Amino acid sequence: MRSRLTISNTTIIKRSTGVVENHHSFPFSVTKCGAEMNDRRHFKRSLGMVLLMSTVAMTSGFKIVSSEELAKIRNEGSSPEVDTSSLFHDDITPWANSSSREADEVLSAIDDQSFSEACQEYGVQKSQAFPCTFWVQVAGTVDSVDTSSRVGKIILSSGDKDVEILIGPVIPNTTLRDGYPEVDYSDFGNQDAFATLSEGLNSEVLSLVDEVGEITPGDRVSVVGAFSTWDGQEDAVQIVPVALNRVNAE
Amino acid sequence: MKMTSLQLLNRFASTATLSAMVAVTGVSSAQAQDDAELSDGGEKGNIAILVNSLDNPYYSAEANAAAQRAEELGYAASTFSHNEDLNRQRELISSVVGQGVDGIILDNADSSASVAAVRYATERDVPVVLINREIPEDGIAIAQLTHNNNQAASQVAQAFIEKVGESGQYVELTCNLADNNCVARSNAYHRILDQYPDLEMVARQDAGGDLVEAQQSMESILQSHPDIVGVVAGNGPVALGAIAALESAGVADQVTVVGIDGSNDERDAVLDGKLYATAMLQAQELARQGVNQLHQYLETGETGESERQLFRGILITEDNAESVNDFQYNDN
Repeated sequence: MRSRLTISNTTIIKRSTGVVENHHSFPFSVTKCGAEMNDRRHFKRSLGMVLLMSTVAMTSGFKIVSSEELAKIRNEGSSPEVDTSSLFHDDITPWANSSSREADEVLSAIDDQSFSEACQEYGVQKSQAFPCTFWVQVAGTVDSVDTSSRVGKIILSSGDKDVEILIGPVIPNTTLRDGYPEVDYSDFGNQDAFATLSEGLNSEVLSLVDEVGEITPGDRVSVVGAFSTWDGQEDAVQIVPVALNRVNAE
Repeated sequence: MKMTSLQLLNRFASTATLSAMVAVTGVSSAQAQDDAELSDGGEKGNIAILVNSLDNPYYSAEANAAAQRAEELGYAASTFSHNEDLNRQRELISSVVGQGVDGIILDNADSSASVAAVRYATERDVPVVLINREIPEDGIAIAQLTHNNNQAASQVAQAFIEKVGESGQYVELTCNLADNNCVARSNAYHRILDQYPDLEMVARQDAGGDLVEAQQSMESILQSHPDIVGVVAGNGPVALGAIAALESAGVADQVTVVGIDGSNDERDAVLDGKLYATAMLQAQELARQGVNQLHQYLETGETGESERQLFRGILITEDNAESVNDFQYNDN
């Protein structure tokens, strides 16, 4: 970590050591000196003080940086600022569209192969700390819409397993975050920031569902999304959508 | 395996008293090595394992697992307890580094304040692997392995809602808000529970992670809020303390209690129907992996893994509680 001195909106970074030192603010900036100080003696004294400090700074391994650079330095090692809307629309959704497989194919693989083999072939599992996430696409007729719980679901008519599409307002899992390979916990540094990212992505899902409008039994819908599971033993798969369309909407 | 809440309380009260004595005197059973003398005889060298109180079943399980794995790999393992005392931790690290330890496995005394202690060792070319608690800086420890508290608490919160429904009054007893892991759990609970507007938290108290304190807090809260439907607890002892208070008040069967940790006592409480759900933290597996990565680093100069790594908490209910033993999950 580098230490720094601040002169108004400029900052001096000490490059030589890893020791954190005091952060000093001076009462005026270099640019203010000439414009605002009428007292010539005061100006000379102030200018002399700035020159002295600058000289000290230059000869002791310090460097002047801008406020923008300071902000960047201050953020080093902390959690990254993530635009979740951009991540959702520009990264995750296109990736899901190109990577997802037919739900039937994936569900058959989970049933027919060992779970770990199915996960390896069809899923994403960043480490043992996270469930395996499968990206799937499915189209079908809406059998029912369950809003008796705040974890609202669209239930599709299907084969052996119930296929449910989560529509909120509560999306209780972190499927999108955990299933997108480019997002890694190591980039965040604390669990709260990592959880906040997931909340942001789930909010995008709710916006997506709102845009589609009310869906009722008998509608045909197509979905691209992800479900996560530790062992594939659940009776129903719950898909978090990144694309949801009413097929008979036209 | 079954026991009454009074037996549970007595058992934990004894542990709590012993822990308190340890904290005061700075001496524990595992601190026979009070002068921090390293063991001899490791074919590959020495590893020091520093954890909190070894009288606590969690820390005991992780320390034992780490020591066993280190010995399997050919190291002499020395285990020390800092009792969450930063000065003691600093002294221990300084001592083992001075004796030429090859590497340190550390469950640190305080996430932020331990940065300097870790740096002290690494600046002297002694690699440190952190287990359980992370520090807020990267690039000092060679690895930071911790439990996925968010995932664990989220699953417990969802199980809680499935049981109590989406409305009613509940209480939160946190474990120790000076501990980042406890803060992460509490935040994760609320990320789920706060999405249910009819589920109202009527009281929240920091029970310090302690069973007796939790029981006293719960007794007090019950006076003002006799109609609660549930208690979410930040760790196992706090959950068990809440259960003891609810049983004393005769309302245990009306209140759903959940926690996080997954000790054998919680397992028994789950099997007895007193604790609805908990998340078992994989203390042994986490510790073993920490030693594996330290070994890898000592052999090759790198761990081969990301610095920060999470370990899953396993949701425990009556369906799988039998698989829990000393923070190890055996599902065979």
